[in-house]
Amino acid sequence: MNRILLLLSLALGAGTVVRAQQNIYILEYPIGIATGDLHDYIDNPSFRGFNFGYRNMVDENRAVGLDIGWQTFFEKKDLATYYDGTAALTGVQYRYMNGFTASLQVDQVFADGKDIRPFIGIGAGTSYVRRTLDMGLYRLEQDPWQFMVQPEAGVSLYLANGNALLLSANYYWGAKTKDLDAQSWLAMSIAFAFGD
Amino acid sequence: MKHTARAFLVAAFVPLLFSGCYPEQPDYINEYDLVYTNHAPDFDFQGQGTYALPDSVVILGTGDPENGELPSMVDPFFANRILAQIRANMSAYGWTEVADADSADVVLLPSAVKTLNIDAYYYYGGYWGWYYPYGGYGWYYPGYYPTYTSYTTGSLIMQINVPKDVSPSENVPVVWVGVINGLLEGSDASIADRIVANIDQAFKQSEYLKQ
Repeated sequence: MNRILLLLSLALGAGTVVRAQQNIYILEYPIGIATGDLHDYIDNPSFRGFNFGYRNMVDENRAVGLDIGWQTFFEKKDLATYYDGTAALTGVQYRYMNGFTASLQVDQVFADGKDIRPFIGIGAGTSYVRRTLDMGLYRLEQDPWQFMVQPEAGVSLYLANGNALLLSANYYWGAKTKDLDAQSWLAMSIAFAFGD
Repeated sequence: MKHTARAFLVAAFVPLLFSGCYPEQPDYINEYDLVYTNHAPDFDFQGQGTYALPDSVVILGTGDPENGELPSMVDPFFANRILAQIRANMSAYGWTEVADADSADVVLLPSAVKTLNIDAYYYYGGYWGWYYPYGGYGWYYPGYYPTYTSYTTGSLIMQINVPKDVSPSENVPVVWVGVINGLLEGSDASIADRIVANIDQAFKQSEYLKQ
């Protein structure tokens, strides 16, 4: 494992130390797990997503910055009959949810000076949720903007040359709108961070 | 070197942003098929017993019924299968077919539409004036909404009407609708097979029609 991390850090050729950087850039791969109403709609995990983050270290233990991201959930529902009052509809359903998120984040980082630094954070922003239901030749779509909060927790593993590996869990919770219930999911992520 | 490597890393991720929003789509034509049914909740289907069925299937949007023109009919290759499958399902549910629409408890009217936008069924009445001259110039749907969208490809529309006790100036109540919608792609035989299977499904999800 250490060898892999070493090779990764060499390949990226970083030259400065994340611990000492003011500006940190994060490229993150999240695996999404739907919760709440989203889980009722799609219960498959999502392996399609990408996040970009920026943090500015305001002191040795605190960072503020921005996260933007995208996660897509998908599930095919085999042929089934759906009832609504006196109506019945039979068909195959393709269900999608694309969540685009943007939030301002504040993080508290622990264990200053160590190679392994846990952190926790909280953020708020917005999520643009595009929920799509394809059935037959028809598509039903809802695409509200929701107020979103994003707590996070994780650990930073220092590599070398100013680079670090981040393992984290983020919870995205978008508040209910008149068009759609609250949409939420948990993301387990691995990220590469580097300073300028 | 440092910037090149990071640019490569970013370049590897960015395409993910623009791909895969809709990771899977239907692979087979029959995955586009829909079967929709609805019925009047207060109508006593078990209190009926006989039905009449025309010997053809009207193509909506053809002819001009208001000027006395007859509409076109669906090719017998499809129409015969459609009518046979409707008969088989009605018989299985305990209904008896009668030749005379005047004496039937209900009349089942099959019609089809192809590549035509239709928002509702309300103006279909005139198409069947040549078959049975009941009611005014249309239908009405007691206690339920018959449709939810428009049809832009191929649809088979089945309606059970109750023309008894309706004066010539009144619209005829439609107590059941079954709509089959899908792509008209593939061989005639495969299209016919899908239509037949979907007619069965329309009756399967309408068990209240049982006598």
